[in-house]
Amino acid sequence: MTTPRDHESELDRLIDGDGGDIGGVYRRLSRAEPPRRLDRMVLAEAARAVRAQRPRGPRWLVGFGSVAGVVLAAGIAWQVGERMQTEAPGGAQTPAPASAPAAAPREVIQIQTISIPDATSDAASRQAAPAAEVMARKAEPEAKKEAQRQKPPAAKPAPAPPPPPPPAPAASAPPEPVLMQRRMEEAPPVEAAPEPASGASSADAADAESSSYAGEAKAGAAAEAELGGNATGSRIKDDGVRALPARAPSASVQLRRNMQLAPETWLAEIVRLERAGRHQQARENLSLFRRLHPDWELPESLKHLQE
Amino acid sequence: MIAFETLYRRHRGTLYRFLMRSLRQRADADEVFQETWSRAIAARGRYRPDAKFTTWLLQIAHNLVVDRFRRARPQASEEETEAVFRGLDAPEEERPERVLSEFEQRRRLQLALEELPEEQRVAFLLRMENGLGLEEIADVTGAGRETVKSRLRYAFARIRARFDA
Repeated sequence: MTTPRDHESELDRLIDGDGGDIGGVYRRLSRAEPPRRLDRMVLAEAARAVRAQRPRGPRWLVGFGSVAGVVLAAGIAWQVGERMQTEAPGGAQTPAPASAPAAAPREVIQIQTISIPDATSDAASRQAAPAAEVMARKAEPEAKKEAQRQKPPAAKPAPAPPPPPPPAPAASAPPEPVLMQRRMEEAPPVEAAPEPASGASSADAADAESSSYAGEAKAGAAAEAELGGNATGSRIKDDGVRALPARAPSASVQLRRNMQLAPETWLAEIVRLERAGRHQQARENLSLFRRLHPDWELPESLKHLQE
Repeated sequence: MIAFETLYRRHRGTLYRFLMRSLRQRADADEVFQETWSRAIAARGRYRPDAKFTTWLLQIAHNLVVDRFRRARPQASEEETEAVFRGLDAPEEERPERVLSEFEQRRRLQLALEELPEEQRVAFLLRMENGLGLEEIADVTGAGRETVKSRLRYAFARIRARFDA
């Protein structure tokens, strides 16, 4: 028979020690083990859990890659939008000068009336040579400005078009660049400017013309090449604007118009100009005629003009 | 995976015996054993390395055992269990003291464990089978330390009464 004191001591051994007699008996109980099928099931479940855990990394990477791609696309779109916004004002300003008077230089070319130096004014030509150089120097900036106008406008608006040159008489004013519509057929007919009467003014004009004679020759060659054999001068293809001094726009227009005539008709027109006293125009027409039709037999009434 | 196998080999036996002696049915023990490990695998992310793995694993097993007891049978109160236990012991108290054979000792202990109230049996098993102290048993069962000590005292008294009968 055990006493309560023995029970307390056995309880203490149970709690803190080996459990006493009861603990000994308990340790001798059958030590059951889980069956192997349970081991296999538990270990297989753990393996499945581990396999299922492995793709979590790549899935995270895929998600991160997707987010990064979206951010990159948004950045590119934003950059493109910014660029388009910055370019839009320049692009919007581009048509403004084209529709404004500044667009006119694109469709017109500067030409110069073609004339041969007056044989009777050689001395005057020599005296006027420095003045011609000055005029050529003046014409250079004008040509540069014209070339700048021909360039496509930048982001800033194009400068206002220069005021049209006054149709001053060629005797007193320096030869200004003359603007002529490329499509002459559509242009209204312009009356020829009156021919200067004084001999001095004629000499000045001849000097001016002689100063740009080289450019004039080039223009003639270009016109010849462009017109071809049938002389369809209405379709002048010009790469740029030729800044050439001219006398009067009306005479130039008339001259260009005469280039479209048949050789016989053109010669008749030259004779008519000569008889009308418009010697300068007649000489210009004849000079251009000789360039375009060098083998054409001239009538006797015009040979003195050629000389 | 190797770490898990190591843990499993170390704790499979004690866990299985705890379940076998708690539930007394092999089929129930097998089912709860597998469920315990499944929950441990699923909840491995919540395991804190600073906690003792045995305590954490036995917490899961104990909760499953308690759920199964609640579903299987109505839980008798401690007073009711005491009365039944007293009635069972009464006739044998009149017997003369005798030396029990080894087999008889084990059989009586087995019967005494089966007759113990659930909370007392769990506390006794956690102490004897798993070697947990009062604090650890309190952690596993969610009871206070003194409550665990009282349960152990009651369990010991009943087992002793079985042996002394």
